[in-house]
Amino acid sequence: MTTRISIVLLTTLVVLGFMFIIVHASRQPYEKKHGFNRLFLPEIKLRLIKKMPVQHPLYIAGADNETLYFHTEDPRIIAYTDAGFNAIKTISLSISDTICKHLINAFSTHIGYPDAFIFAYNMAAILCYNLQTGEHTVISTPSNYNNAVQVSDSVFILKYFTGDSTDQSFCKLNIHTKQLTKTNLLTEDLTSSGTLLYSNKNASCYYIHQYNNRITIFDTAFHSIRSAYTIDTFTQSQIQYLSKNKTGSSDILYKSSGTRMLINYLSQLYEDRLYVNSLIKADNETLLTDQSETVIDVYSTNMDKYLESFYIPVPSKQHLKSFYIFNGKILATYTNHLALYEFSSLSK
Amino acid sequence: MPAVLLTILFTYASISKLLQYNTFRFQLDQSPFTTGYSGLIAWFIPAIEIITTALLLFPVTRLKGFYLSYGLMLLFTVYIYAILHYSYFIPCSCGGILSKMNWEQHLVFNIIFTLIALTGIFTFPFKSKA
Repeated sequence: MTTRISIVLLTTLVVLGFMFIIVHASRQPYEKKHGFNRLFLPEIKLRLIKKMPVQHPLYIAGADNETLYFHTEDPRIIAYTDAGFNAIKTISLSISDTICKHLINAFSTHIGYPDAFIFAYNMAAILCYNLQTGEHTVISTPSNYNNAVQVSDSVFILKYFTGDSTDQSFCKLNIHTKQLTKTNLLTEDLTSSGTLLYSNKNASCYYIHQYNNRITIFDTAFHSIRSAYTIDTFTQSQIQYLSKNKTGSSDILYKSSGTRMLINYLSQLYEDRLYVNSLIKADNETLLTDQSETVIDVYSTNMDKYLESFYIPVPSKQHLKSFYIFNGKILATYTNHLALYEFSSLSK
Repeated sequence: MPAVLLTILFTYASISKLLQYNTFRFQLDQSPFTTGYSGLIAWFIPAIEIITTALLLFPVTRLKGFYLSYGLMLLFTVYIYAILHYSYFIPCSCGGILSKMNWEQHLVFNIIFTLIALTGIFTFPFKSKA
């Protein structure tokens, strides 16, 4: 018996030691100095207004003056709450199990009530639902895609897989007329992930790279307006790719390989500001080891300057799933709850 | 009984990983903890699972199989705990029926099988002294 207990204890120690090393090594790139500082204004403090438990993680899907909409990890369920944040109700969409299987882990939902658009990335389609009438249609996209943004009632801009050596590019799709406009512009460094946003005010798209500090700003005709950069120093994508020829074809496939470090994660445009959730520690910050908060960097939307930064709390054992800034408030969605914060005004 | 359950689990897990090798390796690439070693781990894990299965099949080697099962299940359990608590990425896990579980369910599943392996270790008959 003593031998067995000894072997079990030794195995436990070896496993725990091994995992400690693995976890510690994976965090090192985030914890070293990167050569930039953030500006934290003391007057910017978040004040928790309300907290609401949820059974499953919710992700911001859209908002209007009265209602905030969320999608869940189940594409059939849309949740919503009023601006007072009083109760969460749900809407069920009729999506077949077969389609659901294709959607799981590869979709996002955008709601501009009464329309709900499910971006079915791996189905080369946009599923359009009218939440009032229940009518739905399926709009084909040129191929699978991984980003989409609505730029008008009927027009979407997608970041799609070209199937050729450029790997990915942008296109514009009118879901009513089915008119498709592809572009060969703006294809630089699109293989790694990013977030595509649209500013109604500027009529511009913002593509925020997640693995380097580039922000590509372009109009709906795909003319580059500006290339901008976040404040960190990661000019090169912090992800390695393998490229190889597809079997029996000259087409090139790109697959991620080796280490990867996410830099600019969640982002949102609101009024004249771009808010970017950065996962990189600035030199004037303390370690983020306990992950009790995560930083939001604020830029002017014309990207002429970085303005300041503030923190959103991340409670223990929680992840920030999405955030939404509106009317001096921030709604943050976490693993098992939502939190509404009020924050003082930012720099002009 | 513990040997049967663990044998079924590791047979299924190793075969599903080998049949879906590319998916498994891609998932390892997505993980912040294994991204740099995915090529090695993608072969090492199913190989060690097959070896564990083989050890569990024969009474002479079954105790070693239980030790290895315990080590593997503890490793998977701690890995999931670390993913849930120390990682920004929540990558996919494994293929087949296990992929239908979320991470929390997977954690409970692994804890149960870790305990099953421990049960196997401490209930395995001691060698009778001549």
